[in-house]
Amino acid sequence: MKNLKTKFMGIEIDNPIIVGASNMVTKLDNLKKAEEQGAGAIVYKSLFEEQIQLERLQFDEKLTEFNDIHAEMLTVHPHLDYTGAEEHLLNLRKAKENLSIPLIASLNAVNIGTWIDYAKLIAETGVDGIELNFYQNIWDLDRDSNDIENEQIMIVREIKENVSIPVAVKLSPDYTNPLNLIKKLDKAGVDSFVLFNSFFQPDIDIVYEKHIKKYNFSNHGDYKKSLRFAGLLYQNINADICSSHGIFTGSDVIKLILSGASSVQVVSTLYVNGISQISKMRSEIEDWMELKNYHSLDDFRGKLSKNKLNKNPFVYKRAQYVDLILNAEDIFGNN
Amino acid sequence: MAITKVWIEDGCTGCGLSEAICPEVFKMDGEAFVIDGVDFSKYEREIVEAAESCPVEVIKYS
Repeated sequence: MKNLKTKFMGIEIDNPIIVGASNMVTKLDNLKKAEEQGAGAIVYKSLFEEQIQLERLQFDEKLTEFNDIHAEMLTVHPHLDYTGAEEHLLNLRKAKENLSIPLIASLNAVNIGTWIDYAKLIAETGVDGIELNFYQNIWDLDRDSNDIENEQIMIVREIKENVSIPVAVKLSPDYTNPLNLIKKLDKAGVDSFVLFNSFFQPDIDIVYEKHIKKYNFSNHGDYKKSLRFAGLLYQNINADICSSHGIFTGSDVIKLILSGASSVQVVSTLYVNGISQISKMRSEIEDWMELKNYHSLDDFRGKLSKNKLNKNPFVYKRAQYVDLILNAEDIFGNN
Repeated sequence: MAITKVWIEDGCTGCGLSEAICPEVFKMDGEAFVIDGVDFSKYEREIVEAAESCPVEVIKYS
């Protein structure tokens, strides 16, 4: 047995494979199954602002429009009317009581008051940490990007002041410079960055000329952006790095750790391959470590990060792209 | 085309997505199954959505 121990949000976990927030892990059966298959931790399905508001207000017809759904986000349709915030908190408490591995809550709010209030309520359920799922469905042409980022930094500061459990931030890659925002959030005290989240984008059916919604999954290999950012951030921030998006196999996990991630979150691969995929991924990591004679993740974490390649961080720079273009014929042939 | 038949082929991973999308038609017991006696015509949009969203494409209808 290899030592796969690592940390997420500063919490020691048995191995780097974390089940990301999704509808799959709302049922106790599936939570237990994920634990039995060897998940390092589980992030419970996000609590959404819309659920909270629904409990406060009557159903808002805007909710019937296409909200953010993704493999990790199928919560809005079709039966949001009986999945209120109070029930969510009760379920979190129940899940925590039934698991021995760390359970992380996820919160996806809009209004600052909701972020703070519910972060505090979530912390009272006994969960081990809170993941703040930062996603703004931007539709306002006049909203300045600085305002959005500053508000997110303020939310983190406020929550850190109000809860004692660790706080992770799950971000979208869609910022002009995610690294700069991450640096600022790191200073605000974030314990872990989960890079990156992904959301439903509506499509159009050209026969009926109307929007359609279809459950979106990540594809195997979609982790490349996460890989690059793990490599750029490793040893440059205090928080640990948890990579997500398109991580399907043990080999993928190894790549992310080589880049500098401490852990990964998986969702789509569990939908496609079943929850037993967790143990397969673990075995793949252990087999590879055996082959390479590594005893712990620390033996190779960040080996291919920008800092470790300081004499030749070529791969993280524009030159790599230019070189690829200039040598395209050599690499891909001229057909 | 009215949906009169819904079935699940081999290979369900038990992810629970179909039940989440249309609990009136799909139920989980390790794997997903179609509830007997349901009037599928009432849930056509949801059945199509579940079939199109199924990660292993085992939900079929006619």
